[in-house]
Amino acid sequence: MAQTPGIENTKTAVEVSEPLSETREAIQPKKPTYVVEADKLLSSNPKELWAYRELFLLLVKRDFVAVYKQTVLGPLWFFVQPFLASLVFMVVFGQIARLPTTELPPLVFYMSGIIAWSFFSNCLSQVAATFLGSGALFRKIYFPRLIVPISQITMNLLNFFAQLLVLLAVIAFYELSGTRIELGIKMLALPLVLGVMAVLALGIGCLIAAATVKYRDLNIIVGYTLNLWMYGSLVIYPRSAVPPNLLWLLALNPMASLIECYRSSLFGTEHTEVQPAIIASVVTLVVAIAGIWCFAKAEGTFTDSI
Amino acid sequence: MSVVINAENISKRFFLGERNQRAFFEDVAAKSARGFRRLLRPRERQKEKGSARDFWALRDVSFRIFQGQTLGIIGENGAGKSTLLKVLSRITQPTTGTVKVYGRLASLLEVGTGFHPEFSGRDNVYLNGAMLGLSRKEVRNRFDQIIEFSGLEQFIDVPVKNYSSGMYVRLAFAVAAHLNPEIVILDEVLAVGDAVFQKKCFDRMEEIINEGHAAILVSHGMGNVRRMSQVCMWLHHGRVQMFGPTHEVVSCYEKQTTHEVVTHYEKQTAQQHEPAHREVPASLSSWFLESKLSTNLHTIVAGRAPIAVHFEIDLAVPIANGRISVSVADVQGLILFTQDGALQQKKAGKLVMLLELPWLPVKPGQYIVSCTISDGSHPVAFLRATPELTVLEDKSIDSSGYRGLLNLPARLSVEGDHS
Repeated sequence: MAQTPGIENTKTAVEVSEPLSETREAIQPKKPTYVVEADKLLSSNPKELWAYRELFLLLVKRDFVAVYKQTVLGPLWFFVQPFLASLVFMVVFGQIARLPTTELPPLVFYMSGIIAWSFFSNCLSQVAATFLGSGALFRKIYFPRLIVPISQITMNLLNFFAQLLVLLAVIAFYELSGTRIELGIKMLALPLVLGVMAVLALGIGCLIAAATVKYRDLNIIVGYTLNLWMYGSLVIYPRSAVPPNLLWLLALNPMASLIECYRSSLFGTEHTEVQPAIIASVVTLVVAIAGIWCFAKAEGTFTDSI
Repeated sequence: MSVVINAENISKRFFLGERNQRAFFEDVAAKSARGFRRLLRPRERQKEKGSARDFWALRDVSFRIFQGQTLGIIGENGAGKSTLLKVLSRITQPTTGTVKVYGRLASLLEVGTGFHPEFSGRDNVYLNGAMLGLSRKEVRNRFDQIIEFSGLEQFIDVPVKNYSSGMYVRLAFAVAAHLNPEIVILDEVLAVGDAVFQKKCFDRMEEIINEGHAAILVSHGMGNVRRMSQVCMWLHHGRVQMFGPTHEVVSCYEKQTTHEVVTHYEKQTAQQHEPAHREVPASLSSWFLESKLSTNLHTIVAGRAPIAVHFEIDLAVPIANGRISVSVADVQGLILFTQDGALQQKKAGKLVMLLELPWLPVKPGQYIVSCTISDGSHPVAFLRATPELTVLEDKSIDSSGYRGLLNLPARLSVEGDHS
């Protein structure tokens, strides 16, 4: 290296180009299109997310096509899944463990809980896998990374509504056979409740996604934890079945309150407890802000370590 | 002419090594230790200590690109070229420094990423366009051009999973080439597809550049760099070794690589051909050339005049029925010609050799002159002439439109239609 013939020339070459650039510097253009800086958060910018809205729609479409085209059962699987799970729950928790299901028929009670829980848990686990799943893409093209988790949540929302239709069909069946199930005007609050669930899933998912950049094994824990979490989230039993000395535990779990809100907005058989709902909303907000911040922090450097 | 990219002091540090439990606990320990120290002495700003596992891919790289300029980036593998491009295109963040980009930047780093196999070619054009920052309308406006460029009209509604890899790349490049960005980044993508498609790509690239956009070209092909870029940056171990007009930077870079190629080649030849005893059978003690055009002992100006090349060789062993050959190679090691002759030396000692050439029909540049001595069946010595042979540009002739390797006395006449 030391005897590089280029080294002496380096200086002369720089001298040649410098006067040129100084004269040019006088004409400074408008604002930069973007700035890359050491500690800047990259995609936290809502304006940029909006600019890529078409990519968002296409990604939703892409995931939709992927799910509904590849398998033989295809979309049918989506409807069968909650149905089968509800039947199993009916036998295990309803017949054997004899957990109460309010005044609702057990099938309706379990199925409503399962579709809401699977919406939440799918959102969370998919968001958590963002960097691992789309790493290859992120390494090559820049776009606001947050687009990917948001499109996945949207996709899950679509699936949820499809499953909700199945639930409504089941309800209609009960109605026809004489069981009265009350569906009230409160149903209009459903999108709000789902929205809060989605934001909570996004927040926790983003936190985990940011952490998986350094510690991959976290992703394995996610599925396992979600399974256990369900048992504490009023999916298979109502709040009224919980002994009073354990109620404080429920208060720690924002999902318990959210599932309760969800079911009480669908049916008149449960009532929303206000205090837990407020706690859940505050927790959701805090987690979401922290999650998105960590995500934005991680996206700038994740390609270096994964 | 305005600035389109302004990069200041970019550095990028990578962490080498595994992420395991030990690394995790080290992290935790280091973080908490730092936290404690800050608690105790809040005013003192802790300087980040460099760890042995840190690797600096880029170190204080600064440069500017102006509208209409093409910057070539050269350097050996691992010099930091790709990392620099990744920083510019926002894929990874620098550890220090700032880059300001004015205008839409499209990187043709990796064409075809983000294609979805289940989607048809048409859907993928839209998807890819959206990823690269185009709106649906913009893609629609260019759709016909893109399809025409790719030459895949009849397959456009087929899922891309059924495409051949060539078709795939063609479609991807077509999208990338029609983005109309203000700044294009090209990283060796010029070598896609078959010869016809390559030509098309080249033309399109030149079009983009001629449209007044700025471009960054990363290539190991010095020909492309010389042809397409006006300014050039030479990266070496993450630092800017040299920045300036392309021809100067490239020729310095070539000199440097010549040196390395030759050293490597010598090592190889030595390993292959040296007999069991380590004795060097011959050495080249000096060489020089004689010509009307020579400016010193090892340099001539390009042109047509006879050249005589003299060699002085010390032979350590007698070679009775041997051969000796002289070859001239370019800096990439491509041998331009070889001339060989008989070598009959009953005794060891000095010998002189003369190579006469009517003229040297090569373009200006650096050339490696070497001699190979064989004992009749095996080569026994490889002797490289130092310094290299330099052919200078003939300043009196306009050679700006000059391309290629050879400098032949051809004549081109053009006649109009007189009927």
